[in-house]
Parts: sequence; structure tokens; C-alpha cells
Amino acid sequence: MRESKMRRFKINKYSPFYSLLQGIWEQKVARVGMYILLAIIIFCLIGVFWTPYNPNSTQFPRDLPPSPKHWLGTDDYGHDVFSQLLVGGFPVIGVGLLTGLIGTLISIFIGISAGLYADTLVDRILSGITQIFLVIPGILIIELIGAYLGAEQIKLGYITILIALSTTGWAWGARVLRSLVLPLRRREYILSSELIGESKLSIVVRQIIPNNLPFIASNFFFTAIYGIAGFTFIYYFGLGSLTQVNWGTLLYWSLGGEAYLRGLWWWYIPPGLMIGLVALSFALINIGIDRVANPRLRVDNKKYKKMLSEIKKRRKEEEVIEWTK
Amino acid sequence: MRKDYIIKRGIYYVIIWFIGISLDFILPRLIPGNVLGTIIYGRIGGNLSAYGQNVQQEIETLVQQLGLSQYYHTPLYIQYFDFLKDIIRLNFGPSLTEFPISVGKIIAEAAPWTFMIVIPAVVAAFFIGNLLGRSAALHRGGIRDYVILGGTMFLYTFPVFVTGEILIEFLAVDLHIFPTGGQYNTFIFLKPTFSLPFIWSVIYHAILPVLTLVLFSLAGWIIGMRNNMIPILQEDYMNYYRLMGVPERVISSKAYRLALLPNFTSFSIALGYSVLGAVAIEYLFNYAGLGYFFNQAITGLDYPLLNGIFFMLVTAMVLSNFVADIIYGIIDPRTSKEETEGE
Repeated sequence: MRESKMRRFKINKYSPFYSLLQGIWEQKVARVGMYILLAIIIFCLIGVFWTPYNPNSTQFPRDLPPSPKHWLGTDDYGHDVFSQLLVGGFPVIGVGLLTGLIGTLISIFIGISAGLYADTLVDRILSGITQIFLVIPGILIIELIGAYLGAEQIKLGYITILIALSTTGWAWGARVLRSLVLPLRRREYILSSELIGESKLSIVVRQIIPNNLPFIASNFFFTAIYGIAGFTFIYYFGLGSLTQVNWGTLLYWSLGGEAYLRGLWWWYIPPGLMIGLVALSFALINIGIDRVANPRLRVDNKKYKKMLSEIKKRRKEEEVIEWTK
Repeated sequence: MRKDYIIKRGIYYVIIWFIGISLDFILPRLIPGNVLGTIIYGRIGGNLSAYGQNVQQEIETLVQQLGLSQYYHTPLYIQYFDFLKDIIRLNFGPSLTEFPISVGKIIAEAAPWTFMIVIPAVVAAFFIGNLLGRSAALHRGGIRDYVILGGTMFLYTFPVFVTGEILIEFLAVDLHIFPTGGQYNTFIFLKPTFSLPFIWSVIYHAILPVLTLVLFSLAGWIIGMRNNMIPILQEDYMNYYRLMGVPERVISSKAYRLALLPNFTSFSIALGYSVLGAVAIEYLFNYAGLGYFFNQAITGLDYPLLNGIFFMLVTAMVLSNFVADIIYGIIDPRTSKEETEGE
């Protein structure tokens, strides 16, 4: 009894998920990305338990430059910037990752159903919707919605931002997935599963998704980058809710205070840098996944250089032979 | 057959464009609350008592003046037809934040300034990015590859307006090399004129925004170029060249030309996206293009202006995608053939 339970939790080394993870881990680029992400998450975790000062208190002198007392100085309103930076990370990372997750789920659903039912009415409608979202930038639509909500004094909260970003960020993934599924559904093993009587859902879950796992993983991080960029854009245009401290609100206030014209670099560079680093870590992992999915992108410069030098050596030998003739 | 393909794509994009601009109509009506009331309140709310008894009449004349009768309670389909009529005539009514000036006039004045920074930025990013991508592909796995790829990835993921802020603070405020904002020196030139010093002033003021946009969009070209070129360099026909003793310099230039082809098709789409990027940074540089007024419209709840600029941006995106499709059809004739034959 116990043994069978143990067996269930054993890692299946041949599962596509495990091999993908292993492949990503082998890519140096992706590993660097994961270390950066891990460091940022630890930084934010520290913020949950400890900050040098209360991030919401405005008791400090204004516009102090960085000093041992205030590591990143204070802002126009007398906040300690470093405390705010510690506290404000998780909303950004969370919105980014969840946008990636929900957006990818939507693109899996729409892309695979469009691909499976290609050339039917379902496919036409789904592909049409995908095209619209592809051509008309999602951030533009969100800004329009935010502007109209602004008339009602409504600012976008985290949940609204998350919904808005994930419902506009799925289109690229859906289109590529559709084109990946199209040749797949004519393959023998899918046809034979259909003939055996396997249901469509089961084919999708057990054959189509595992086969396209590298692309889905890469799409996850791609959408997550979109989520983070969208998050900062929403705050940049002043459409986001300002009740909680996060890196977006920090940027918003520093912009409003014209920090960049007054030399208050410690107010806007740290949050910008942190947002940039989170997105960078996603992008690096994404490059690693690309290399797993497309082996021709893998860098084997040593092999290539060795081949080159061999060719050159051979040429020289040939020249010598020709010359001696 | 090609004409067929272009017409088909054209109809397709007209439909998408139609749906895009209809969002302008649908969204304000889906959102709870009374947009019209907010606008009216914004204009006369402060001194409501000054109007005394005539508030109702005042509101009605304001509605007529502002061209907001579309928000009145006529049936939805009539509102929609009015909306379409207005859009096709490019008549968005007067702006609310710059009141008597019409939205059409603001856009006509702002759009050239946006193109002033977008077109040089896209062209410069295209050339620099492709050359850097080529260099990264040729030295793949080396230090130069890591520096180029890592550096530009960082610039790409960095929020674009923070890049702009940093450039303004260090190059304009601290070092006084560039102006902090504006399109030209308003102390010397009161009005745009066609003289050499004026043109120089325009270029001088455009350098920083263009630089910001270039830094932001470089990564796309570099990664595209690198990912196109690495497989080409490993092709058998390239190895054949090497065996024939063709110098590596010639081989790399041949591979470069082959890899450039897909990047050409993304050129017009990049143009569309750079308009969006410009929207983000124009406010920062006080550069009175479309983005500057877009920001003003959002913060000032200036809905006619917002509609007008949204219309312009959607049109720009649809057009750039359409042009990209046509270029792609010319470069790769298979796509146009497949489309007409129905998959």
C-alpha cells in the first residue's frame, strides 16, 4: 500500500515536463535568469518580514540623497524609498506571473481549438478574434477602458489589471499554437488515437500539449513580460490604483514629482531597475527555452571553430600538394 | 493571383479596423456611469452657482457646442451611425482640454511631430540592430555575444520611460548636452519656419527621444537577426562555400543578406509599435506629438481627443500590418498562393 503511494510521487524522468526543465537548466542563459528571479524574490520576501522603516510613514525630511540612514534616500513626500522598494515587489511579480499563466491558458484553449477544428466556422471565428487582438495593441484598449473608468473616479486595482492584461495578451501564443497544431493533427499517432476512440480532450491533454510544451513554456514567459510592461504602463499613465505601495506607484509618484528634472535619481531608478530585472530574468529564461525548443540555436561555437580550423588545415595541405606538383 | 491576395488581405484588415474603431463606441457605453455628466461637470462644475436658474439650458448649449449629442438618449444604432459618419469625415468635435480647437486640427498638428521621431528611430534601430545581431551571431558563444545580447535585453525590458528619464537627467539636466524637452527652441522661434537654423533646432531636440526609442527597440532586431543567422551559418551550402575556400568575410555577408529578408517584413510592424513607444515617451520629453496629447486626454478626461488619437493609433497599427503582409507576399510568393487556394 505504502509502496504504491511512494511510486506515485516518484519523478518520471521520461515525462516531457521533466525533460524540458532539465533542458532549460542546462542552458546557461536560463540559469542566470533563474538566479536573478530568485534573488529578487528573496529581496521581496525580506520586505514581507522586515523593512528599515514603516514604508507608509511620511515623517522623514524630504528629498534626502542616499545615506547610511536612508539607503536609497527619501522622496518628495518623506517616504523612505528603500522600505517602499522592499514592500512593493510582489504585486509586480505576481501580476506578471499570473498574467503569463492566465494568458497562456487562454491561448492554449483558443489556439488548440482553432487548430483542431481548422477550416470550420469555429476556427474562422477564433482566428478572427485572435487577429483583432494581434493587430490592435492590448495596452491601448486597457488605456481606453482606464480613461473611461477615470470619469467615475475608478482606478484599476490589481485584479482588474490582471484581468485586463491576461485577456489582451494571449493572441500571439494562440496564433502560433494554431499553426503548430495544424500539421500535428494529421500525424499517424493522433489519427490512431482518434480511431481507438480516445476523446478529443484526452488527445489534447496527453498528446498535443506535451508535444508543444517548450513553446507553451516560452509563451508563458513572453506573456509574463507583457504583463509586467503593461503593469508599468498602466501606472505610468496614472490609471492604476494608488492605495497600495508597489514599484508602479513609486514610478508614478516620481514622474509626477518630476524627479528626473530635479536630480532625484534614487527615487525613480531603483523601481525602474527592479521592474527591468524581473522582466530581464523572464526574457533570459525565455531565450533558454528557445534554445531547448530549437536545437539549431544552441551555441556550439567550439565545434564550429574546430571544423573551421580543420577546413583551413586541409586547404593548406591541398595547396602544398598542388604546389609540389 | 497576387492582386487577389492583396484585395483579400485588404478586406480582412478593413474588418479589423472597423472592429477596432468600434471599440471607441462600445467601451464608453459598457462602462457604468454617465460620461456626459462627468464632462459637463468638469466644465461648469466649479462655478455651478454662477449659472443660477439656467443650468439646464446652459448644459444643453454646452452639449451642442462640444458636439456631444451622441451621448444623448437616441437609439443605439442611430448613435452608432452618427459615430461612423463622424469618424469617416474625421470629425471628432472640439477638444475639451483645449476647448475651441477641434480635435482634427490638434491631430493634424501633432502627427507630423510623432513621425519626426518615430521614422528616424525605426530606421536607425533597424540598421544598428541588424549589424549588432550579425556581430552576435558571428561571435556566438563568445564574450561579444553575451555583452550584446545581455545589454540589449536589459534595455528592452527596462521600462522605456525610465530609460528616457535617465537620459534626460544625465544628458540634459546634468551635462547640458541636449535640451530637456520640446520640439524646437521656443525662445528663438515663435512659430515653425522653413529656415536652416530652425531645422537644426528640430533635429537637436529630436535626438534624445529618438535615442530612447532606438535603445528600446534595438533588442527585437538583434534577436531576430541572431536567430535567423545562426541556422543559416550552419547550413550545408555555407559549409560548401567554406570547403571551396571562400573567405569567412564573404560567407558572413552572404548569410547576413539571407537573414535580413525576414527582418524586412517586420519593418512596417515595428513602425506601428514604435508609434506606441513614442506615445509613452513624448509626455516625458514635452514633445507635442500624438502621445503627448494622448496623455493629456487621459488625465484631462478629454474624450473627443482620446477618440481621435485612438482612431489614429488603430489606423496606424492596421496599416502597418497590412503593409507587412503585402511585403511578405512579395518576398515569399508561397504565402499569397496558399491564401488564395484556401489553406
